[in-house]
Amino acid sequence: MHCGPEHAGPPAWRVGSAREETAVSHITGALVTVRTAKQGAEMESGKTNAKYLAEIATLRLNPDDLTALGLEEGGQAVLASAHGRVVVTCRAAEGPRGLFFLPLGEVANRLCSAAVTNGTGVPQWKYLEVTVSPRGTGDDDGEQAGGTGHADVS
Amino acid sequence: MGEARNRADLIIYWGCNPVETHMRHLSRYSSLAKGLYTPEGRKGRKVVAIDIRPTPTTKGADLFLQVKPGNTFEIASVLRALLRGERLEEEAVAAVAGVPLASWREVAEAIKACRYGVLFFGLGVTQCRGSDINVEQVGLLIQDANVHTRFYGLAMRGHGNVNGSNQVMTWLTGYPMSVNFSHGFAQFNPGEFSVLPMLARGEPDAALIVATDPGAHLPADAVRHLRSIPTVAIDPHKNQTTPWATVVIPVAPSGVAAAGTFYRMDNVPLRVRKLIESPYPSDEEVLAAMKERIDHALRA
Repeated sequence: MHCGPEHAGPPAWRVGSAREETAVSHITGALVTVRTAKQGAEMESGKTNAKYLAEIATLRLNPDDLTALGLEEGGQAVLASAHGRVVVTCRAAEGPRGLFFLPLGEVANRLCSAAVTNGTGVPQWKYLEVTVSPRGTGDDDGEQAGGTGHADVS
Repeated sequence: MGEARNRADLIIYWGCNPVETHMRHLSRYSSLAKGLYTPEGRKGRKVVAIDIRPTPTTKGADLFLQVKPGNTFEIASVLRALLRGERLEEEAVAAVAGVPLASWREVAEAIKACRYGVLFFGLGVTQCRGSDINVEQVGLLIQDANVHTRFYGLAMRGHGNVNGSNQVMTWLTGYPMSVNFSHGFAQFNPGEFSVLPMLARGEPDAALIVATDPGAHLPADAVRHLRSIPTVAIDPHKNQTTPWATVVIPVAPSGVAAAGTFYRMDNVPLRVRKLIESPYPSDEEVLAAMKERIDHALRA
């Protein structure tokens, strides 16, 4: 039995202005970092292997959000927060609209800040306001793909 | 977890997804396990899942409550009210966290009716808005449940032996983590002394990193400060910290090439053995040698 709203997204969920007739330029919502089986398994084989780096840069989002952005499965998007921006590969997954899920790792951590912990000492790993937009629109051009390890942290 | 395996006829997974994160947990200790008083395994247990999205864990539950994020305190509060028999009017409290009150009544009734219930909660509960006050309210919920039946709560911890450092810090200082000794005595305040606020303020001017990978698991601005100061990383594996650490000391992995004690997430200490030889020392040997040199330098 499944109880709950069709769209359990945060109140802040909203879409940006139309980019094309059918697509929007961006969606503002919340990022939640999660563990995935693949992230956990690949982490044990090594955090420098390509599968791990690809997995931590794979964003799960509602299929309707994916369509609204004019993206297809495997398409690239730019995820931006107040603290940073990264390029991610999109994958449709079950979940409310306006909530985005990224495996924990170095890519997600480029969006968080050590200075914002709301007095808890832990960053906003479970609820961080972000904007998702298709890669290659406006000022997002030329972003470096996520999952490149430590090289672009500094 | 032995109690859960052998006795629990109600399992609640809240803000956790053990099918993906603790893969052996369900078959060894919780919903699928067959135990002394649970010979039917999954058939003899009721399983409830509370999460913000469907996951493989919620798909295996008898009842799944998909909640709006950021409502842990409210959920624990409504369940406490229902367990305590407070009158809640459907008109006034139509839904909590986007889920109708009737569904929360169903969960409260399941708690009251069970012989032995266990709540497994994950970071979705502890890292939700409100953080420590949520955990306090969940603890009080478990207390209230024990008025009706035997009920137990357990946090789903992450990496192996992550509980070990909490145990040692607690018996040494009385505090489980984020302990600051800079004044010569132990101070505890995670919002001030956990590694992140310290790095955000730029206070540390050197760091000893033992069996953890801040390069992968801390925010980029914290990593930026670590990379600007001298760092010593002690780790059996190449990770996203070792490429930039000033000094890297490779060690034998515990439980494989070094003996030691692991604390399971339910605080049970387990002795691990050395199975193979390693050319590297154990992390205990490295730390003991470092301490000896520091002591020697202080006496000189």
